[in-house]
Amino acid sequence: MLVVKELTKRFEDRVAVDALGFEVRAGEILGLVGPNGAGKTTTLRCIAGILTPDDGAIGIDGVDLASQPLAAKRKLGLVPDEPHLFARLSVWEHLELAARLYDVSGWEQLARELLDELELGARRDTLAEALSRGMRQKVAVASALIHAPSLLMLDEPLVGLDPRGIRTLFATLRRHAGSGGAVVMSSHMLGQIEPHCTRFLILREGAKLFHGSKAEIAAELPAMRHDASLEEIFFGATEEALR
Amino acid sequence: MSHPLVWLLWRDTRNVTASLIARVSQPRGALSIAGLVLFCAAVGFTTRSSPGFAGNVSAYGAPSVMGLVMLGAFSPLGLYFRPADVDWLLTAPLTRAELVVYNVALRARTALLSGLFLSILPTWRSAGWWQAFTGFTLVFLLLQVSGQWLAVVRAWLALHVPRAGRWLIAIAFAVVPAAAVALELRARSDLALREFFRDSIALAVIGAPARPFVATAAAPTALAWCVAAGTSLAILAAFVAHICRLDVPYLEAAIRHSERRALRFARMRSGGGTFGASTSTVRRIPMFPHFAGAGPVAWRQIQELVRNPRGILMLLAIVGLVSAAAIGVPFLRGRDARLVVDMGRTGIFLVTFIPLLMGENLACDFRRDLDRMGQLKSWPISSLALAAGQIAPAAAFATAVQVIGVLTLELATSALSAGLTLLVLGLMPVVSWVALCIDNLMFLWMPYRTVPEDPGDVAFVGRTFATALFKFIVLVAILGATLAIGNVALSLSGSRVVAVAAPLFCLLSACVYGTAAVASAFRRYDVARHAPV
Repeated sequence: MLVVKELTKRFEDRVAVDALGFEVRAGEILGLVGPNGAGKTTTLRCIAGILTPDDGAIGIDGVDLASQPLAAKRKLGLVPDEPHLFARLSVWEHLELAARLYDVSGWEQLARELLDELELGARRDTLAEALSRGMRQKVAVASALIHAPSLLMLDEPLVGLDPRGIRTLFATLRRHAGSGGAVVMSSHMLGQIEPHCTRFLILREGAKLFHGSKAEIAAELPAMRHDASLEEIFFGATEEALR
Repeated sequence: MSHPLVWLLWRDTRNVTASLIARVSQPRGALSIAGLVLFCAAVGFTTRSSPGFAGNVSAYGAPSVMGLVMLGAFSPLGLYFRPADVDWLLTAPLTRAELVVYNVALRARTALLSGLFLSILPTWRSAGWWQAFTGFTLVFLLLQVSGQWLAVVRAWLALHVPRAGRWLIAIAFAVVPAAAVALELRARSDLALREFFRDSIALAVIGAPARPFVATAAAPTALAWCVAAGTSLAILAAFVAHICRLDVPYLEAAIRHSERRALRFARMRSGGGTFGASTSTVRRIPMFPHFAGAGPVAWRQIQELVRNPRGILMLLAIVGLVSAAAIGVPFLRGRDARLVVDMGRTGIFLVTFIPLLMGENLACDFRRDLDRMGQLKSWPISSLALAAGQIAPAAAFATAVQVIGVLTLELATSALSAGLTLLVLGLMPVVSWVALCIDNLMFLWMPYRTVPEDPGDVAFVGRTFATALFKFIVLVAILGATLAIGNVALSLSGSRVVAVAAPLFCLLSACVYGTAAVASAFRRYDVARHAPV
């Protein structure tokens, strides 16, 4: 569903992403983890087509992003780290905007289902400026799903959500993956994402440290228990890289 | 433009309008509109006999607009999109042309409102309201679009021209026009300034691209208006087409610029400076005496301003430019004694008023602390001491800038007598204090963000115009009253000391009452109800 090859992105002299390669298959939820400045957001932005890679190739559902950017963007939904909404559009109007942007017909039924699923039904006519951060996050998620993207990417989606909101979000993501979509999600909340992600990609300073299921990564790390938590694996992996 | 963007622009505009109408229907909004209408009527009435708006526009308009366009070259590299636009539109399957046209349409909305505000004033004396409205709107749009165009051109130059070449282009861009005007000013010293503006070849060349725009505002006939407005629109279309065609990674530049700007706005809203983040923790000033708590409050404001002095430096640069023009123009024209004095007095008037009217640059008072009002209220300090501590630093900095400007101009031009200079210098701190009381009172009565949400933030444009106009009229009224009191005191007593002491006493009283009013407004400020979104 997503193929990234030798992705490199520099900002002047600093290498933000360094020859990164990985794949995400249909039905998979990939957890993108790494310390601050590891290149997670830059990677997601390159895949979303809003940053131009200096090198490498990105394919989304078989469409090359560099040569067919508009076609590739149609297959993609992005939920950014800070959910910026149009302050004076209502919740429903945001979904309508997303449907129009991605040229989706008959979107109303799916919109109603998404609002109900994300517990926003009672807020459908509320202006965005009156929403809490968690609610804005949910609107961004619902809008990213309105065109049933092949690949859904979420940058730090758990920030600002209450426990119930987190549970609801993961149910939505599992449903999306279960229906044949792929999900890439970056987060620092390792304990929260651990049970829901099928594989993990650990980055450090723009480079890939480990990629695989929890057990696969644990097996690659010396002296790591096979049933270690994601947090233990994360610290093991990043400290191993420091040595 | 594709359908979703037309829809977005329409819905956004409709909802913004509804929100504005809702606000205007509230007592405070209605009061603001009434004040604005009264002010416009007063300006219209007092200037009803002023000659030729159209003539002034023809003489000064085009070079002035091009001066502003050239200042746009210093804008950052990249198109500016609102944070929501970045998240929603830049990731969507939209073409570059669609995004650029949408961005321009958003700016046109702001330009329309700005044009509407300005067109109200000269209606009474211009060629006609419609011409003034369309002309001002097109000029504002030119400033917005040319700024975007220059940003994209600079980004293209950064990719294709080495650094030395870029410096050469920048120097040529800034120095050649200035040198041409200076040389012509010297060569044609027989012409009065207004005639020079009208007949100068250098200014005609520099102002040529803006001429159709200002001609729209002063068009005497329908045909002339059609020609001027049509040419202006064609120029704007050419700018937009070139922005769409230039081969630069516009999305990346737009995102970086938009994020930097959004961060700056966020910093300003939460109390940071207008001109970027603080860069130094080295400059430390000693703590002031307590003064019932006013000392530490003032120290905090001054410390932050000293560590991030770009706002003051900008103000000083503007005062420096005005002073240089007031001193330099007579010098270039053979030091005609009358012109030296006239320009000196004009310069002194401007450098006295500029720091008061550009108070946002010195906003180290309640305006800086909009997101910290709760914290201020929790401090164990009386509201009067807090108000004094908040106002004192800005008043001190405004006075310092004024004093530097006035002394420079007075030494260079001897435009005022020694006594009058001393009087002006003596009154400055008091006038500045009163002006800042007005600023803070208006802010606490009708709290507003000192930065726009986005290029299409029409409410911000309205507030900016309304507050600037209100402040100007109140300042003029106070200065007029001061002069009147001085005159009456002089005629009644015949003593110059009394003539100075009486208005000074009145101004000092205004300071005390103004500070008390600010303290009272702060006490009434409810963080739960009054903080703007």
